[in-house]
Amino acid sequence: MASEKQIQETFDRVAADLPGFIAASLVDLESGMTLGARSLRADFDLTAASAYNSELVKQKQKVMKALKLQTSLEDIILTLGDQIHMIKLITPTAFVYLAADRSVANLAIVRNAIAKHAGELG
Amino acid sequence: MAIVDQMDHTIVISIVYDGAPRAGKTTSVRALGRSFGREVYTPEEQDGRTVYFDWLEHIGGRFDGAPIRCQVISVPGQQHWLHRRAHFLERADVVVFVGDTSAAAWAETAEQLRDLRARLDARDGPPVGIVFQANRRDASDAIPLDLVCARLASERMAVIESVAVEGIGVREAFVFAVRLALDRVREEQRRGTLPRGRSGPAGEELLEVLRGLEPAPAIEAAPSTTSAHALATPPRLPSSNAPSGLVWPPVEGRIVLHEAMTNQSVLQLQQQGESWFAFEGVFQIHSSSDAVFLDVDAGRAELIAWARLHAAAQPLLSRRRCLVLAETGDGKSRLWQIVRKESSLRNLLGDGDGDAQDVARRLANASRLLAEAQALCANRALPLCCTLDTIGVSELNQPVYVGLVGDAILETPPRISAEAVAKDLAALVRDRPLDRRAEVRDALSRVHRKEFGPERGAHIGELLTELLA
Repeated sequence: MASEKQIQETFDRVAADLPGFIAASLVDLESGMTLGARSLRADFDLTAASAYNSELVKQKQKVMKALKLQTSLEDIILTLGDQIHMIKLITPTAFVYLAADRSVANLAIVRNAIAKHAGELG
Repeated sequence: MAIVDQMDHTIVISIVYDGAPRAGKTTSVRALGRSFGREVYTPEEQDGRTVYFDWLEHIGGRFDGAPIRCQVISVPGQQHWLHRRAHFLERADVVVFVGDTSAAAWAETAEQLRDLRARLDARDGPPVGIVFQANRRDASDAIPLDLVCARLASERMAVIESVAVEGIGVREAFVFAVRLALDRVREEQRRGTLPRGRSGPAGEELLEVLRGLEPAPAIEAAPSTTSAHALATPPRLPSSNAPSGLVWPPVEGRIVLHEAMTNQSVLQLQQQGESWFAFEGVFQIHSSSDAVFLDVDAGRAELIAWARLHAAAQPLLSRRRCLVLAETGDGKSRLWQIVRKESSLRNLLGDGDGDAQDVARRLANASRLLAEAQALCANRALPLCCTLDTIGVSELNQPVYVGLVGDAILETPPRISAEAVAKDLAALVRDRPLDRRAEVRDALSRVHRKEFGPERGAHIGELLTELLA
């Protein structure tokens, strides 16, 4: 697992590649703890968002189990009025949560930026 | 260290009695002395506590035809005399660890035992055996023996129950220790490392040797009231402004942390072994000896491990608790556990007073709650010790784990027998007059089996009724 500093540096590179980057965190799925985070907005409570999103992922996994779907969850995309939020599972126990400004970024750019650097976080 | 004494052709072995302060080391050695009809030599005591050592010599039994001379030494337990304790532990052939097994003293017992294990593991030569003399079995809050054994499962040691003040179990522990020491002697013999010569100093001669090893000249200068607690500086408490990502759970945890640290002035940190506790006020605050990290990444990894375990245990854990990795002020980080105090079943059951029917119902309910808590732990493989002291009850009459999550969480979850739980419950009314016990027993027999909870709960109920007979 990457150190907190390495995670932050990775997110700096994501931010450089992604216009409209707001914040990103690497989250431990089981506990909801952030393993590393980077935010460009002081008012964006990334810790709380990460914890609540870990519940979202766990609930989705429960749904998949209930439906007996024999596959894995890769990502979750949430489209808000002015933001795009993306959750991407990096390992079975950790995911990246990223928020971007929808007026500047689009889904393809967000996906591409995360995919490009996800390997550094595993 | 064992030696073949060429003067009298005896095998001399060193049996050291170790344990936390006031665990019963001196009491054990004196009880042993009485059973052998021998005096114990104690050079000095302060407030009834050993300052140098207690010394007893006993010749008995044979090893390969040679008489065995046992040099029995109990060491001072106080932190202040650590160098004296270390001197004897470096020379022990076996250690009888006298452990206070009352619930109130367990944390200190576990700390001292960890320290002992580390010291013995660092020694060269064949391994030094440990006999765990589980003392204070007569204490009202004595931890059930199978739970003690479960907690020591990974420690590779024999456990022998004792009530040292009455001399019960002391001789058994000693006999077992001699066997372990002789196993070590045999191994030294096999390796060709068993020394021959003259055995070390004894009694007053030993005192002189020990005085010669003192780092400071004024041995008697230590005030009698000095304790380890007074000597150690309490660590810095965590700040309620701990950075994001260092508090679990991420949102509610910060609220608990803020609440706990709002009035720091009332928090009195106390040292138990090498752990720090604050039990006063509304919160229990704890940080163990191995919870200090030189680099924050190592601390964070530990925090995440603990957070995962807590998250898995959340269905049973009380809500008002948090973990925090805080700066120590000297570049290190310390992991703290903060738990808001809630009533345990023992608190709720009281001392068995009140209407017999009511007492019986409360006992049945406690039995159900413990059984349900243990079943939940077993189903989810939660390594929590569910006892009358750690389980409470929710508003919905469901079990809630209200204790601190112990270090045992990283080990195999202990399984407490129905007998142990019944014994614990029975202890609450055992001291009442006979007619009172009979009333409670009759009332218990009228309580519907279902009220004792799942199958195991009902079994606890049956055992409890038998124990009160």
